[in-house]
Amino acid sequence: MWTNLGKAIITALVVIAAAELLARTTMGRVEFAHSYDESRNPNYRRAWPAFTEPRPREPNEKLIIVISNSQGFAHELKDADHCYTEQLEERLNQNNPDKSVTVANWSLGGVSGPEMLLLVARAIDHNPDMLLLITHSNPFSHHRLNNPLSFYLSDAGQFAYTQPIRNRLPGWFIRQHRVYDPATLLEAHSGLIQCRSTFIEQRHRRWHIASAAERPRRGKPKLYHAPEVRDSGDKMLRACVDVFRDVRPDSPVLLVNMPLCQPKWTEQAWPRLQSFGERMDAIAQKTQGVTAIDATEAIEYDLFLTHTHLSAQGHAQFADYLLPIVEQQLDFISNPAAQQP
Amino acid sequence: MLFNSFEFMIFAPLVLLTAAALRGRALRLWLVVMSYVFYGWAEPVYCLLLFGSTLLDFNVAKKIDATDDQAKRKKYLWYSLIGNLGALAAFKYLGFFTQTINGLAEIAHLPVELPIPKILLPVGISFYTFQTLSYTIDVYRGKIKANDRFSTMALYVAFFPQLVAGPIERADRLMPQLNERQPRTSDDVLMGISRILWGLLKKIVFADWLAIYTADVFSKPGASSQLELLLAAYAFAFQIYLDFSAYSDIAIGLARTMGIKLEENFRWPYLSRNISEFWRRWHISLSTWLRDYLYIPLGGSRHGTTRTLGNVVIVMFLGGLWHGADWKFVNWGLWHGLGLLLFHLWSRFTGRKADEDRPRRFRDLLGILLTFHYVLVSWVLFRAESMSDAVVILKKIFSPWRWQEFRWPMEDMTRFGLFLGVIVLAHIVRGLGWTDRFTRVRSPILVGLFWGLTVVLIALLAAPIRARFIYFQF
Repeated sequence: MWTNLGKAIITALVVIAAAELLARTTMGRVEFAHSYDESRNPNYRRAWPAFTEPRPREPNEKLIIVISNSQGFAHELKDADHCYTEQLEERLNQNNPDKSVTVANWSLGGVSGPEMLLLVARAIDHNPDMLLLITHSNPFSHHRLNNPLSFYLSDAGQFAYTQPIRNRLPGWFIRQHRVYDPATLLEAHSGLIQCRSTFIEQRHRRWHIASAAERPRRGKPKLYHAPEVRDSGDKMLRACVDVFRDVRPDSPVLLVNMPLCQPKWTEQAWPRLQSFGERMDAIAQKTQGVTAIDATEAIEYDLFLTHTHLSAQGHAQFADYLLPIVEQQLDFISNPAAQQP
Repeated sequence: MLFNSFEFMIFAPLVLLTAAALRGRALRLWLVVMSYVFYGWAEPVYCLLLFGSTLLDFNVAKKIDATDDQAKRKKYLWYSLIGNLGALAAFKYLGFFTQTINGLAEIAHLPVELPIPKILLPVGISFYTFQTLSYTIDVYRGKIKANDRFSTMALYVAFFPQLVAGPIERADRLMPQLNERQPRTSDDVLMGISRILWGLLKKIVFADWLAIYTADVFSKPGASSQLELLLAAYAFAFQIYLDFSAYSDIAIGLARTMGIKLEENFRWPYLSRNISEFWRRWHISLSTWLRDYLYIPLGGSRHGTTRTLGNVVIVMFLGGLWHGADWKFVNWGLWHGLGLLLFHLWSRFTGRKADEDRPRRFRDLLGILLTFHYVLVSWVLFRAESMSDAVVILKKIFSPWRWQEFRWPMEDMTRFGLFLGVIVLAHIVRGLGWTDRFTRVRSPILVGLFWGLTVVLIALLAAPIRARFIYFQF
């Protein structure tokens, strides 16, 4: 009996190994979009490891990484070049012709606090000149936290199973988000599962780019609620800052309480959304190199398509709003002498 | 614990390899403890209920066996019936009965509003209740002797492969296999593992992908188009078959690796030529249970046509209620009862008898398609979120086709169509009898090839959502 079982197991393992080899070869030949070249991740919630893969940079090439949510992903814009990240890049390059500035847009629709932290931990590998976290309170509200990583829709969860990123994560994060999921572990390291994630699941509607603008509604306009941010949300936001600053103390971090359309939120929601800026500010006060700004009312309300999403003009206005703040923070602009060898 | 979970991937090899090294009582105790771990993984407190049911029927059966006094035997049997069905009623039907009473009171304008208890349904209670009951009834009927070994009884009730969703095993078949260690051949292990992998493929790839589509459409029937609803009905018909038969495959495979043979629960039911044949091929362990412990005691077909038809309807009504405490399940059962009733009348009228062993011919195609579509209607009743939703869906499907509203029902129709195509093709191939030679393959190299390919297919095509087995809710 054991001989036959052994023969069957060995044959099965040979088949699996051959398929894995084939899958790895296939995956090695697939060209994924990269955040330095693309305005946003065209695979939406998939292929985040490839989209954020570190790449060598030229000495005068400067990098700003923007981590944001659906506002930054801007799926309602057919031409992603109108997104505020692209426009900010354009303006920075116009103002600094001797430098080549890249603004990498790492915006993920429906991002959660844990996914943001994983993206921040990934950003360290890029040694960016600046990190921008542009968000509102929702990703840090209590119902978006405390779930196993497999709960979240994007494949950014793979970072938690990839060294050295896993080592950068706080111990409580590993425990709280039960980062022991074998399926995600396999997804991070197996060619077969990467093939599935790329070719099979990618087109599934949950991570497929959905329809754009809000549909017209009958009757009263819908008002949005903002769930409460508790201490756990504070802790997560602080971790985003600390994880980055611990390794990259020279790169500034800008926390932005993102622009919102006040008339589309309930009366209870608005103070909550604004108080998130105060939480950001409290963190910035305690950490050197971190600045917090409240941009909730930075954009005119008629430049919004939804309660959070901006029109093309709204994106342009937001890029104009961010430009002086970013330039002030960037050492190579505000203090060019410091850049001289 | 779910068969398609990571915990089970650790649990199963641990239990099976240890079991291979044990004998006699130690083996039985090991399997009992592990079965309780399996059952109590999510909600340990319900192990008490399982244990209580075991203890009750073990003692009742011994008392029945110990006496020849018919009155006493009957009294003890009633203890078992009241204990088991009482627990089932309390945990599964109390809320339903309360809601029904409140509803009736409202119709009659009576000022009655009973509080609706919120009780978490113990997983698999309907399955193991029927299994323990069959044991006590068989002892009462003198068909088997009461078992003296508590460990065997405990294992018979809690045997983890079939504890949660069947097959509902009979004591005369399973208990002797649990009493003594069964000789295990190379075939048992190879075929057992093949069956497990086959079940996982059916569940993780096919059933779970179809589940995504059906969940989406059935959750908003009002907003779905006629074509979407029709496709969702087809998808659910195959989803529930693949989901439930996958569970049975895994259960049968697990037991087989230990040398234990469980009853087959499905025999390609959608190839049935009539509704009566369907019930001899669908959830066989339940349909035979209902036949032996309900239909025949009610009189079966021994007391004329009217009584026979009445018995069929009563059995199917209770069969529907067994599935869940909801009127939609009752209506599902009644729909099948109506089908069986009509088929019975048709058979009497034409003088034809159903012969399921007769090979299929091309002219059977009409019967197969008619039966499938009759069953399809019942699946709408079964799957809809409520009875009113089911009415909306059926009304929409059966209303005149509005071609101007035709639209491609989902973003990724290719994958859905491909899966459905593979399933239908598998039925055609099976219907033509071309699969028999594959089931006889015993070469370890070919079996290993099958294992490897199945694992690769699961890795490549697994659905992104790990859905629970549908029959876990019963």
